[in-house]
Amino acid sequence: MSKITVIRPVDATTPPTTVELAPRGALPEHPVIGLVDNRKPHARELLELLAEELSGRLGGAEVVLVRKPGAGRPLEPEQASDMAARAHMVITGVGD
Amino acid sequence: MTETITLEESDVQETFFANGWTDGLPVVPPTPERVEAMLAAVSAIDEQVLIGVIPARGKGITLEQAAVHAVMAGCTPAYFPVVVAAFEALFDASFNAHTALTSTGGAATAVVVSGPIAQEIGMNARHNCLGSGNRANLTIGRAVRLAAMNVLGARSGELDASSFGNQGKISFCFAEDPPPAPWRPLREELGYAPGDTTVTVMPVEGVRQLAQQLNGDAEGILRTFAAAMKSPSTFSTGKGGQALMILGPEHTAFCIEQGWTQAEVREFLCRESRISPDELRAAGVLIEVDGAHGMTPGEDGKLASVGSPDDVILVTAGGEGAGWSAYAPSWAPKIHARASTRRVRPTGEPLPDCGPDGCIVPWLKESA
Repeated sequence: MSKITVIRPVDATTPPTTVELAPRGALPEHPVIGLVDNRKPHARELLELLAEELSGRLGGAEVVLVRKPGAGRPLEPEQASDMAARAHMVITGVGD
Repeated sequence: MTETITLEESDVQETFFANGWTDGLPVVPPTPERVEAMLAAVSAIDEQVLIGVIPARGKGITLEQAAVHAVMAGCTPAYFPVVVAAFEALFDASFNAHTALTSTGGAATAVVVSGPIAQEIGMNARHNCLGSGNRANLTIGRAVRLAAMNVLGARSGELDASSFGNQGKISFCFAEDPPPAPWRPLREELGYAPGDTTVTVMPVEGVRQLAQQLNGDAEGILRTFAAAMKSPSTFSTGKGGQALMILGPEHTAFCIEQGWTQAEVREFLCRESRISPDELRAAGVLIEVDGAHGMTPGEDGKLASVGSPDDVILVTAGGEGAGWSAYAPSWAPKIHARASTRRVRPTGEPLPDCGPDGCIVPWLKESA
């Protein structure tokens, strides 16, 4: 039997990246809920229903909604910065 | 970083299958010698340089990784400059590789080669050019997909959510057959020099064959094709996509003989593939309101199936016969992704003299 040396086609040296979850803190009395609409059909309607429910449970919350340029595009950096500065909690990740 | 593994030669294929490193077909083992031969074809001075990156994934492809997958796909070194140009085009932001390689729509990456290198390396532009039988066509397209799968994570279970995919996801690559004058090949229509070779990549749904065998009237032929372009079941219909329109030789000839310019053909196909909301509703399609696709009719009361005449990528290919053409719609509206083109740097071509201030050489550019 003969041996052959080949180059591994996948990069085994790249360590898997882990994402630290944001620390969970107590919400203020009147929190700001951020919504990221990914522009998929009905995403906005679903998020607004969630925000309404949460607002009721949290005793009146301000809702801030931003819309991605498209489902296949990330938030614009200024949109993300603005959301991070204003919202205490952000809901996103709506699929088809 | 390069990592090698040593195996019993008889175990190579099964090892690659077991690790999920193939597309389901056997591969050529990427030995260091074979990879070096690929790299020599582009005069690589640093094989670890990135051809490009997808920022959203934090992943890119180095020249060496491209070479590894070109070997695995079955390319000869002479094909490698074309493979590199295809990757350069794929990493253009307009192509939006992150999404085009991910979407449930299951896009294939169409690779269209226009120019003398296509002929020099024996690519097929005629009979069966979208099918089997030509090593260059199949292996160049396959190299792009294999690397996307292994290096960029475009595989089921990772980042490829294709509901079905299509056969073009294994390989979808062909050469343009230069059209008779006064029509010009794609690269010249895009502003490149006649002696250049270009690679255009485009994320597409599966290919539709277009039959028009009895009508010799160019307008009638193009009306048939425009009807295919506004099929309500195509995702981008009414939402402004792009179209890869591959005219067969008879259909190109009819257009030229009857005085149509390429610009007029693109304009006609763009206009006549527009569709009214009522036509879509009649086919059961709901009109998006407040969505990303802006389905608001224009002054003609219709919606665009391709965004503009320039969104019709018009090429000639295929073999003579009864009268066939082919068409592949973009996998999604152009707000999501667009075709992208790069020039092939031929083997042995010296790097440009950029003077004391330097310049950007696309294939050496290390994207941030």
